[in-house]
Amino acid sequence: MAVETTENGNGPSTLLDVRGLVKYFPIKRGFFRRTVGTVKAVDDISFDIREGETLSLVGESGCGKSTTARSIIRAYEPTAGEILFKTEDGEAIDLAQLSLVEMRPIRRQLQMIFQDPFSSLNPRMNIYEIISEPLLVHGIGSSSEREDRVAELLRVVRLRPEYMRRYPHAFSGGQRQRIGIARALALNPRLILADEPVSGLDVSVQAQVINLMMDLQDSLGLTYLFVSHDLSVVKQISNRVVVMYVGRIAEIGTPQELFDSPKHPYTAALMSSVPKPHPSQRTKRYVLEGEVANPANPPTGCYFHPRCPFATDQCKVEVPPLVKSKDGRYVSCHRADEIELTAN
Amino acid sequence: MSEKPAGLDAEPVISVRDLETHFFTDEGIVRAVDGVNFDVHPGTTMGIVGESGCGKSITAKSILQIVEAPGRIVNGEINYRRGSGETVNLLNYESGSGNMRAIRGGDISMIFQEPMTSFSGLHTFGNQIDEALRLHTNLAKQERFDLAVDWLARVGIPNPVQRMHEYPFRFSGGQLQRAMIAMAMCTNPRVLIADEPTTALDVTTQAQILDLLQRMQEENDMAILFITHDLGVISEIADEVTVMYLGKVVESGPVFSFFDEPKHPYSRALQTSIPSMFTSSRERLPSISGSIPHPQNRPSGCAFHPRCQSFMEGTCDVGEPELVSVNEEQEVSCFLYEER
Ligand SMILES: Nc1ncnc2c1ncn2[C@@H]1O[C@H](COP(=O)(O)OP(=O)(O)OP(=O)(O)O)[C@@H](O)[C@H]1O
Ligand SMILES: Nc1ncnc2c1ncn2[C@@H]1O[C@H](COP(=O)(O)OP(=O)(O)OP(=O)(O)O)[C@@H](O)[C@H]1O
Ligand code: SF4
Ligand SMILES: [Mg+2]
Ligand SMILES: [Mg+2]
Repeated sequence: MAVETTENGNGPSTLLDVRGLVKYFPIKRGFFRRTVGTVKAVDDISFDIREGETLSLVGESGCGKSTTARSIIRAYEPTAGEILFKTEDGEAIDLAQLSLVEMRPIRRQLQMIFQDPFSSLNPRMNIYEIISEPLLVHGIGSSSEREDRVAELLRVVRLRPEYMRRYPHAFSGGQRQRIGIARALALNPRLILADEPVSGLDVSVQAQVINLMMDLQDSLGLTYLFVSHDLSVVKQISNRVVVMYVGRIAEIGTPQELFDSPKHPYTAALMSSVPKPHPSQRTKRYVLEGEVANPANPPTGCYFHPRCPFATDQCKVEVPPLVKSKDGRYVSCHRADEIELTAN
Repeated sequence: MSEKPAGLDAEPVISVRDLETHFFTDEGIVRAVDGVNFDVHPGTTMGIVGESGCGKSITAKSILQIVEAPGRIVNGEINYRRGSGETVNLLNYESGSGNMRAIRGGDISMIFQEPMTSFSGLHTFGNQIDEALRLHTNLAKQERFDLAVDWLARVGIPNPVQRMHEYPFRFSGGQLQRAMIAMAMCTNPRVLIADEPTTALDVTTQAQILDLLQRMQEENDMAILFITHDLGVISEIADEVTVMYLGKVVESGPVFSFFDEPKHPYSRALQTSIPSMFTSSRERLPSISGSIPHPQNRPSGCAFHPRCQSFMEGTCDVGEPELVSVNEEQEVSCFLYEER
């Protein structure tokens, strides 16, 4: 069922190649915790991330963005699929097949940044302890070397090294998020998975963190998997975007492609729902009817068909595969080639 | 290009003057709302925009006198113009008085930031909407039921009759928000206060709700006070905008002037630092330095001065600027515009 998303999945430019990733959660009920159903949180998705790019996952709440990121770092056990990661020696290894012990040295190269800068930092540890913890865990450096490294990392995220002995409560939301970034950078990772890294921040400090992330990417050659429900932020930071709907991929493209010429009806609806930045652009909204499907009990065929204005009988029964179109874009819609869509 | 709604020329239905609501906490006084002024006109939408903690919700709750202790309205007027043309200062009514109860949920309805807080988990949705109708209309039981079902259908909730017998926790986030709108609207209010009604929702659901509110406004000439921190939402639905920072109004005016010619340095900085769908990929946006101070460490003078690009030493950190008119439409509180 998985669809090839790259001709040369192991080619030099691909850092991570996710193929046919599936993650189901059992629904347990009653005294004996019997399994009474399955949440199809991630349901056979394939995409690749190229070295040095920012690839974003977008879609409505519950569509499986966080589950995808967590499965990649093996915080969740994937139900099926391959997660091919190119190591520093250029060899592609399938993270899904590794034991947790084998995974440990690789985990250094993949780091996660979380949404909530308030709960993701241990309040009883000072900034030095928080940032140096990954170094300590991996037995890296003497204590004075670690201190130098923490000072360097603090400078990188534009915080004063003198603050090293302070505790998280003494910092604002934006500063805490930068501390989280410094910690994630401690082990020189190659791939950073950032799950809603600016959603918990006041709008006036979001730009500080986004600019920092882009600058670090340029100077350190980082690759980002960026998860967000804020499409404007996604448009700003991403090279390519994966649009998800109920655990599946609707479309993959550059932000400009998805916004200017969406090919999947869901992408068009999503983009059209984004508020226009100036009142003169107010138009008749394309309002998507109905509610997002339940991943524990998804519709047949194309998961989007109950809300799709273009649905045909075929859509009700056949799952549309993610296919590469002539212009190199990926869309999963039976009618992608025949319908005209705009996002505005 | 900018059609101005007729309502903006009419007498305001709500006129807030010098409102001050403070919290008397053990650590000291938090001046959550610190001298706020604005008008809401019939059939139009006033957007109140500002970041977390600037006093938007407390302003809204002050209008209905539902501020929780240790908060207290310490000064100001909330002038409400009745349908008859008579104007009353709502603050002359006791919070628990019959007059105030008739206004609250009747003339003026509110949709809250967290939908679950406005519903009880112990009663069915039907019982709760019936309570509102019993208080504010003279309808008989069956008429109330029919009206409630009608509203549920109008806000787009499937199987409304069945939903009347269900408990609110069975509703999804979007449905709960819609149910709350139905409950707020069923008494045919003249003013709707909507406190971040879409912040917790996906953009697709947000578009549905904004669409719904606008259609309802057109139908009954209702005034909306729309609270949000999202400038995109303001640009979509507001006719006028009031910008708050640390309990004060820093700028107000029609939505077009606000986007075309923001006057306050905070309004300008916000507009240039937030990405939009027209921001190109990988573009760096100018960021605002620093962060919002805690209200108890309110900076001296103009509270925005430590983050302001136009900061004038000896002026901005010393005196407090007043909200003054800079042209026929816009008001700003900033020393750049005050004659010294
Ligand atoms: N640990 C878990 N156990 C059971 N179900 C889960 C678990 N984690 C996620 N799910 C379910 O999987 C689906 C996808 O959830 P996920 O958190 O990946 O969505 P998301 O796209 O990140 O949403 P959001 O934008 O709200 O963060 C949801 O239906 C969710 O309820
Ligand atoms: N019960 C309380 N005790 C003390 N201070 C309070 C209380 N409730 C609110 N405040 C303070 O009043 C100020 C204004 O709060 P308010 O809820 O109006 O902010 P807001 O603009 O609605 O923010 P948000 O966008 O986060 O909803 C805040 O600084 C807050 O800390
Ligand atoms: S496959 Fe059919 S139902 Fe699905 S998006 Fe395309 S047209 Fe709509
Ligand atoms: Mg998530
Ligand atoms: Mg609020």
